[in-house]
Amino acid sequence: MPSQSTNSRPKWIIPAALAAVVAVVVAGCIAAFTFGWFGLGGGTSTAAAPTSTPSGALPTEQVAALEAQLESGDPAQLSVALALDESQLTPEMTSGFGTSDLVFDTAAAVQYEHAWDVPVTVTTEAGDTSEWIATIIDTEDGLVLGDTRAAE
Amino acid sequence: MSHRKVMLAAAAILLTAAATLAAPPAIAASCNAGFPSNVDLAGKHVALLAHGWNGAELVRTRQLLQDELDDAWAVGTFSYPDLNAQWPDKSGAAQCLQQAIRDVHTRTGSTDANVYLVAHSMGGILARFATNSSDDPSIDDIVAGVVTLDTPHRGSPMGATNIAAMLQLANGGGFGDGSKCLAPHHPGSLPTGCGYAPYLSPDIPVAQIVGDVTITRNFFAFGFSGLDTNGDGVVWVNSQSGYDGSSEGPAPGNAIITRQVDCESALAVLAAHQGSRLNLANPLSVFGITGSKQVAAGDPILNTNSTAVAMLGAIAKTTACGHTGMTENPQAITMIADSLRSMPARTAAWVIDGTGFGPVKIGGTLDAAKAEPSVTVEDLGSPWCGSVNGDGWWSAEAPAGEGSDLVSVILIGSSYNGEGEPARTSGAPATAAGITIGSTAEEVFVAYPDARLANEQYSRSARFPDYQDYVVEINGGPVVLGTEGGVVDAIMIGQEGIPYELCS
Repeated sequence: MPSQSTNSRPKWIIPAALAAVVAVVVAGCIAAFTFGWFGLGGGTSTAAAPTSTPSGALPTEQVAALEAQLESGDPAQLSVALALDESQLTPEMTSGFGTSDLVFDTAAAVQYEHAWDVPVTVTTEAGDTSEWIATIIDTEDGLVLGDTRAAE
Repeated sequence: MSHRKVMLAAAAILLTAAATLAAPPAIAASCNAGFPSNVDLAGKHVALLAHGWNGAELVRTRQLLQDELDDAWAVGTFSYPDLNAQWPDKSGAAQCLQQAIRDVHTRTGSTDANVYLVAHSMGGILARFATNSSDDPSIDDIVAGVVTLDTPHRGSPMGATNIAAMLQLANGGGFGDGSKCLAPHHPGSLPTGCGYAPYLSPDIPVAQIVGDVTITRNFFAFGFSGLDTNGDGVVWVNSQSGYDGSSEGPAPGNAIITRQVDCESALAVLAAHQGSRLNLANPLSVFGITGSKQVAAGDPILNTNSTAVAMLGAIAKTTACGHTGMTENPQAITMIADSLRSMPARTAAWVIDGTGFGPVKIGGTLDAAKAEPSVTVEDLGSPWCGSVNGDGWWSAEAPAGEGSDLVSVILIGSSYNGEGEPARTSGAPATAAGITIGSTAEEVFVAYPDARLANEQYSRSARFPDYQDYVVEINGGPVVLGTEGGVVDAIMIGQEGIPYELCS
């Protein structure tokens, strides 16, 4: 039976431990960079501005499906498209979406990784048109209309 | 280089890294109380601003708060950059803050409690440890009030999460236990090794300034929805306002003010901020399900929901009443200032001896006493009847009654509790040995073994058997400690006996 000696210690332990420490530190740096979260306890930390890139990745067929859901005026479909409970839908929302024509300009979308700002033209039943920027979010359940703001 | 040498070098690096990350930094150079160099603290109320976990000196907040307060106030900062990742119960930061409090108090030249702490986030926990009077009761005589801003009195959903540990590492905080101990603080649930923040002395009022963000969503001109996040992105509302009940038992009677700043942030703004650097998988479900339902169920810990953490981070950083935004929120700054103004400086306990007590001296005038903002004197010419902090009463009389403004005798009396017993009030005047209204006769004899019964000619005991008045010599003059039923109910200076009450 071979005698036990320190040489029998697995030689990968120390490098592996070192690698683990380095990995944690690197992960921390990545996380902090990712969240822009330095100094939550106050002080003079600075939030990084969002970076955006022109998008070619907005799935146009899913946008079309979202558009159809919104324009249907059907509370069940509308609640999915807005990620709201049906109980949160107001009559104005149901009738407004159901009687308006929405045209998403997907070619002009600006991507924020898994969210997009998309210009939208809204034409109401009375024929009034208005320009908006819609924030569409890619969720686990598909595209959702997250928010809108008037186009400047 | 041989494989063995590589391993040794790696081990050396590992040990160095571990030591660097884990070793507590030296305390001496780890904290600092900062005031602009041209500020003279003499005679001022002083507010010290303490930052929180992973935080830095609240320079901008200091400027805003100073602008909101008048020249009677001096606002300074307290920073502890090398200790800001450590839980304050054992890091040394609390001792550091306590020393800073004493230093600035000395600079005011006053004996009153006139130092206030305004503490953001974990700084509020630090303030509670630093003013723990069980360590040193004299701190009660210095601190006049504590304002907490978004403080996780009952913890944060970020506490004890992997993401918090990583953020702390990335921010240079090493393996400090701050991220771990910020876990929900309900008694019994704090992680091992983390101490509960003690309650403040009951004399110290507490103001809790709370931030609450509502996420708004607009749907063209058809409607909108709002989702109250019940927090500031880092600390839930019920934790920010949770001082009472955050330690063992209820708070010990502190006056508690809670004020809340509400604000809104459009989801699009949050999505744009955070979406650039994280998979914004399903923020709606985060707040529709994860957030609101967990909040409803109690303080949650978001262990693995990176989307929730990301959105909370965006709220904390970008919204006006988010965790970071609150330090510069104009409404919050006004609330802090209003809270400070509502906390009057407390007069330090006046020491009783044979020459008088506090600024009231035998043979002197009442001018100095009248100048004390916390003292009320009903000037009847003689006797004068006064109170300190509206608590109890005392009286003084001139030698020849009316017509003189020099004090010849002083009678310190007592308010009575519901049982008709003398009420022992904190901050009441006391002898250097601690004998005050409400002390027992036994305590008197322990403190003054040479105490003797007062001359019956002057003593109430001649007429009323329940009264026993004892004379002690303190600082060259007699002080009569009058007892009723074995409890001190009146103290007379300048005369051996308590023949009457000057004011009642």
